[in-house]
Amino acid sequence: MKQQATEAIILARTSYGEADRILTVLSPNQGKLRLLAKGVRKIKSRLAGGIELFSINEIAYIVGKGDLHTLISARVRINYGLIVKDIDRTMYAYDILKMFNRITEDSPEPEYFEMLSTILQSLNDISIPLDFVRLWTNMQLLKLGGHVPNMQTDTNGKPLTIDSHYTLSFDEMTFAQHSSGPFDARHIKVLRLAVSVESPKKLVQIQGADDLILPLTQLSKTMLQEHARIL
Amino acid sequence: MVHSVEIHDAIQKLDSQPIDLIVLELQIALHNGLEFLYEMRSYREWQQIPVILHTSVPLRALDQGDVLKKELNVHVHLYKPTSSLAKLVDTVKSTLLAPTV
Repeated sequence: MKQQATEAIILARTSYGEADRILTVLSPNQGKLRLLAKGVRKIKSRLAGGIELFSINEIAYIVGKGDLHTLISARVRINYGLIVKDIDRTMYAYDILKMFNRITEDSPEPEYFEMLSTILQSLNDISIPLDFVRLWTNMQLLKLGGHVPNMQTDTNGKPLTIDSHYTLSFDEMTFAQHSSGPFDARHIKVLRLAVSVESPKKLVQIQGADDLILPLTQLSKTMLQEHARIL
Repeated sequence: MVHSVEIHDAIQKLDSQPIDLIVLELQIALHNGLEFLYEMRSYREWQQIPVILHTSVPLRALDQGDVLKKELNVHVHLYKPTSSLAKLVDTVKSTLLAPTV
């Protein structure tokens, strides 16, 4: 019997029989795994504490013949327990887990695990407003899917300028100059940073970003709906 | 009738006796009621138990109200500041008497 150990984030849990659970987890190097956790409904099960949601868990499992493996040990390494103190953050965290379960294949790139870890860590940090986490997440998903908008030149091929207003052409994923367009250089700067910084915390430090975050979050959500079709 | 203020205890109580209906506050100690809802609905045998939210969290604060209804199968949301105890009792009675699918 071959054993494996890895870090893992729980994406989904379903019941199986009287006392067992099937866990779907995301790991950094072994992709998405389905694990049979035996007896975890019994409150004293030694596995029960190690399969918490919104946590980074250290797990060990026996590799199965098919795609279902058997969990043999689990331990919470980091628990992001502050998420559940806030209803909106909790709902968003559940949505994110569902989304990652939907968009990840059996062998997703390690970037998905890193991104999900960062999202949970950021949701656990109440100094980061939820909309900053949403914007960063949306832009990172666009980046992973290869759908980042052109933030260098407009629809006529001219460089974006500091004193112009723009709308976004969703077909071309390029900004179009428009005298009453809702976006300007400040918005585009925050969008660029949302693609390039390693966590939402960096976005919070941008001066004036508070005033721009709502339209940008909506814009990034629409881009995801139009192109990545994952929301 | 059983009462619980903590989600692990609530799950354990669900596991130990048949429950006809749940009245749930979303703001509970240590965790929140959404965790309990997601957890209990992940068990097939508990997916059809009616849930009445009787909570101080307004529906507009739950910006994904359709998730509550469609995915978490929440039957009724009663906002505590504007719902009387009599209304809660009526809702419990009518939900229990409603034909099950």
